[in-house]
Amino acid sequence: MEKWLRLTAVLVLACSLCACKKLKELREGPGGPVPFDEGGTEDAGVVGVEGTYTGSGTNPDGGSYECDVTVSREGDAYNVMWYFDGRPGYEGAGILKGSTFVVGFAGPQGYGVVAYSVKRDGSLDGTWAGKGGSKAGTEKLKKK
Amino acid sequence: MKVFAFVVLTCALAAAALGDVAGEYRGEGTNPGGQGSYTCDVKITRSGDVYDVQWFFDGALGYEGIGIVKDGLFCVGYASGQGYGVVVYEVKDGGTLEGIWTTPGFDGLGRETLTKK
Repeated sequence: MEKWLRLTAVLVLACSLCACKKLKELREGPGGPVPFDEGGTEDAGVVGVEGTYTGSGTNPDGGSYECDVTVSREGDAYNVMWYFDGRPGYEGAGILKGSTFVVGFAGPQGYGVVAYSVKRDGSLDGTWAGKGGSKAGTEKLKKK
Repeated sequence: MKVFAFVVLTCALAAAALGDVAGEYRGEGTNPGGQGSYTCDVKITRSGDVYDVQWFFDGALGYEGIGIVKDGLFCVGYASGQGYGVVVYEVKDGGTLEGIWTTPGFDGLGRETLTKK
């Protein structure tokens, strides 16, 4: 019986540790917050995402694409434009929250959301989804 | 046996705490620039890797959105006949979602708190 109790105690401890770790991940993301962003939420001044980027992405169906992206600040929010072969394709409204840049976008083919992790080198590592789909795509932006 | 029940309960509670954001919520928000406040009902349903979000005002569907979880944040792009925008929610203890939002044409940020029904 004592063995069972010990085993149970270990199980409870393991469960608690696992839960704490997962909760922390849920709040801060898998790698924790980016160090340069100490204490910053909604503080768009801490990390600048403004600029022009070249982008490459994958569609939820597995295809890939390339694009050019401009990000400009508008007060506490951001305006984002995606260009394909030099032509404007989608337009978005963005919010910088800590080290995550989140943009709602719309265009002729519908609307969606993209969320980028802001990396230390200024690149943006994104996940996106368009309305009507059930899978996510990816998009990486590098500053020009 | 009681001990095992405790273990199961602990694990179940841990799982519930990590549970996804799907559900029905009561929402309270303020518009950017202090331009008024509003209440709404919000329904979030999971669809594969993404979430469908619907905002109801006085029982009528007002906005629809699509959401993903990234860096522990629930990120939603929404649209309606009146345009589009973005909301970023932090997932709080008890499953409450605390959001900030914006839409083109507003320089400021609005706020929206969703409490599970």
